[in-house]
Amino acid sequence: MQGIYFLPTVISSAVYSLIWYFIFATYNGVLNAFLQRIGVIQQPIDWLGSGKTAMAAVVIVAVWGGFGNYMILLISGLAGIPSDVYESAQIDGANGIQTFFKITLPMLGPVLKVVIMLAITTAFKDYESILVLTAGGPNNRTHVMFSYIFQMVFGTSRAKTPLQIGYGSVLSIVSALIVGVITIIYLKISKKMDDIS
Amino acid sequence: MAKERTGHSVESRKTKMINVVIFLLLATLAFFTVYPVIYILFGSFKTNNELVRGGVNLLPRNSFWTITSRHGKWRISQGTP
Repeated sequence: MQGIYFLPTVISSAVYSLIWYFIFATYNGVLNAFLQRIGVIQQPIDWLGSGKTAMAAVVIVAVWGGFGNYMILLISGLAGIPSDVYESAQIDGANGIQTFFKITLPMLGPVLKVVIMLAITTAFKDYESILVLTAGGPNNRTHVMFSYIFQMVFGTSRAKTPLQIGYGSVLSIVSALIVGVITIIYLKISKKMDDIS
Repeated sequence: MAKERTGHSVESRKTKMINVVIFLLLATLAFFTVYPVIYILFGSFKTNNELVRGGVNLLPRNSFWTITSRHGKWRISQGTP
């Protein structure tokens, strides 16, 4: 089953975003057709065009496309935890929940730290799927920094604003600084996660 | 002794139930993970019209690619036979 979870990672983000675009389509999308067939909704929902659902749809696609990578990292972290620790916990009478919170989670700390850092930086720069799915719309609600910069510098077929290459260049430098500062702050805060006790 | 055995069987039944629930959750997650890939895989056999029309049907009604067998030889041709 691990292979299945890793499958989205090997597909290009532009390609899988296009697949999801078909799935989320309002009048001929699979999701609306399925929900209407089982009676959950009566009218089709504009998943990518409504301000309430567009960001959720983008997040679903981003999670779908990215969690295979993080799964691999977490599995390698889990494999690194020695089984003796679990055995001694079992002898001491620890139950599953206690074992998870007192052994698994603390010992996964260093890997978890890297995974969260990667997830934060990816969230800032995951612009391909946004450009394919919503182009930042409706009313710029689904823009991230880099999709906005892309629109400023290169323009998109759906963008109504004129190109502002100079402004976009400045934004790219500022956004790189923002991501760098946030990463440094996160690394400082999460220093505790390195200590396996 | 009998009490101990009953306790063990209750414990193993509980573990089995938890494993079944976890398996079902993982299988559901796997389905949602693999569905878009399957959708586009079957979509590659559909005509443009059918693909744009959408719907929940995975299998193509009018196949763009047709596999036929003549005189024991298999061939793939474009369009419906």
